[in-house]
Amino acid sequence: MPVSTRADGPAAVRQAVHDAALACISRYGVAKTNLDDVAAEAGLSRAAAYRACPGGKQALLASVFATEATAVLKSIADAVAEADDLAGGLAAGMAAASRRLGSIEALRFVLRYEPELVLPHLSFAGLDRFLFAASAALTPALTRWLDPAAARATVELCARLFVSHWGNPDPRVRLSDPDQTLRLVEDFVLPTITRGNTPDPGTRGIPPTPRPQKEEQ
Amino acid sequence: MGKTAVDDVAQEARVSRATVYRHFPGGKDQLIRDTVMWETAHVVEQLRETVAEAKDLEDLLVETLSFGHRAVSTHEVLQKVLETEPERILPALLSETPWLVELLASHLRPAVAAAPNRRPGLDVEATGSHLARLVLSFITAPGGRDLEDREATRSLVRSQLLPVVMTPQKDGS
Repeated sequence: MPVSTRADGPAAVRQAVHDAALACISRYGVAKTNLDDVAAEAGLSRAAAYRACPGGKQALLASVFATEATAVLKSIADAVAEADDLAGGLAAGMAAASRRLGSIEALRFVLRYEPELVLPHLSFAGLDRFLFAASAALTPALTRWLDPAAARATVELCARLFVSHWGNPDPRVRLSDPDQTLRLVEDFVLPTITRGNTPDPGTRGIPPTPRPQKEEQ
Repeated sequence: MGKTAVDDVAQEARVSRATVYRHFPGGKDQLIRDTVMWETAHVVEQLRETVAEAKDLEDLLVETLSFGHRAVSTHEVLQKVLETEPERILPALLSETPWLVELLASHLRPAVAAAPNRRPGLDVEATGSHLARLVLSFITAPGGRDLEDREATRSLVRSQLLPVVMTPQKDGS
């Protein structure tokens, strides 16, 4: 939605640019969105839009991605924080993630028409990086109930299950339905949680190597 | 892969460009899809032979993880493409996921059904699918675990996979 006043502060302009970028992507996709479209969508002059995005399109995309990812993580952490017990927290967290991701229209477009942009982040080395980031961000949300090692292992397992079901849905497990995620958690996550003894040695503290930056095609 | 054209494939196979297009009317995209499908089927066939001797669910899971990890990490073409242009191969590769999961699950279910100390009310069908999903997940993204190390792989199986099937044993093993 265009911003009416051009006297907005930098934060408001930035927000307007982000929203406009998401709107453009949900309509034309990532490849066909350019800064001129984003400027028009935000009701900004080209000059103002370019000033707000000094790194160009790639930096804007990275920033929009980071902002959305942070919002998804926050919605998960909030859902977990409201829960009464561990199982309920994990189930609510997964359902919140699914609902939040499902509400991002730009993501829906990209998954449908430009999946090659998303899949590298959810498979192979990209999945390792994703799991590491998810563990780092969400482990604290579980330390109400678990020691840090068990919390990290549990986040990793839930993230693996989430990605697997998100990419390859099972009609019996709708991730957006907290009752169904609760069953998933009770059947397949709780039995693996060891409180305090013999944590799985794999959950590591070193970050995976960053992905080599690629030139825009 | 971006630089490999239908012409190169025709030359390498010593057939004409027209012959390639007769067999792959979809051109390069179809070549990629079909190649991924064949390679996957080939690996699955080898897996079937490798795990035929597994004596119980734990062994079957350890063997499957070890073999799968080796198959992925030593596949030179796959590794090269994943490193340089993953976006070209992943849509085709990941579209194989549903049948791969189902196939793995169908291998695991008999061992799940035969496992001792099964958890009460265990759903063999759903548990087989669950284990297959996680096996694929760990094979492709081990999360820092060394799946070339048998003991590390066994420890992963015991901590993350077997507990959904079996109740903990009293001797703590």
